[in-house]
Amino acid sequence: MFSLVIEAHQPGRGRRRLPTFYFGNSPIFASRDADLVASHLGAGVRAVATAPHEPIYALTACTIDGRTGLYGREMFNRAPYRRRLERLGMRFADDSYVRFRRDGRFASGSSGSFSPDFIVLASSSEGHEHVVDASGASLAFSVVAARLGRPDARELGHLSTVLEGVTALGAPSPTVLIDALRAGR
Amino acid sequence: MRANPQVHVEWIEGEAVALDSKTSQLHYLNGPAALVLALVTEYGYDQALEELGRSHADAQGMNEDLPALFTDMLERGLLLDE
Repeated sequence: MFSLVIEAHQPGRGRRRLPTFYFGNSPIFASRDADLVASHLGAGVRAVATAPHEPIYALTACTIDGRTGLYGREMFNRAPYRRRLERLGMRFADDSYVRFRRDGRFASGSSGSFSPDFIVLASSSEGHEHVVDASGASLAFSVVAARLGRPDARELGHLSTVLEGVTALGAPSPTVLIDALRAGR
Repeated sequence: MRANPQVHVEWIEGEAVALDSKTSQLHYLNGPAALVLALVTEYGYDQALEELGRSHADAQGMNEDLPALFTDMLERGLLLDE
């Protein structure tokens, strides 16, 4: 289920791939710092082990212009879309997971607790000009898809209530997404 | 036909998210599907059909889609065929 891949240095084979932590076949975290990657592997194992008893979501806290949100488009910290967002000013927490607390706030070790102003989700929209908003039951469905393990009915109801009024959006283009967030969506 | 009591439904702005506690599956129901499930839950299958016929008599598309919708909801375990 979990794997940590560190390529051995082989002269003449060009650049090595960065040490990377995989969940199944999906890359989750890569860095030149193998110890840091190993620590993310440990965090991933803990998150999966804890998820049956605690509401853990594979979402990353992020900030832009002082606003805090949740990022759920993909998990890989070096995904091209995410790196483009970083160049455009978005900052991501170190943790790949957040905990949904009973008081309706989300929390992670590096970001503390917060109420998200926005949630970034994957967009299936064609083209680069469109921002797609999600709301209501489809938003709740999308967020629960990021839950490790399954929520119980009480958590589902609580989450639905908390998500009311939270802006959720996605766009095929990182620039369009950032522009929309800076415009106050 | 009746609503599956093991499915917890959260109604949100005319749509719904349904959690099947037995299979752990989560289902997203759009507006029409949420309406149908709400009516079956509230009135039972026969009365739900009557209510849908009354309130959506002019919505030909929805009435045509109902058999497929019920089949889908049965297959997903949201409704029980009993």
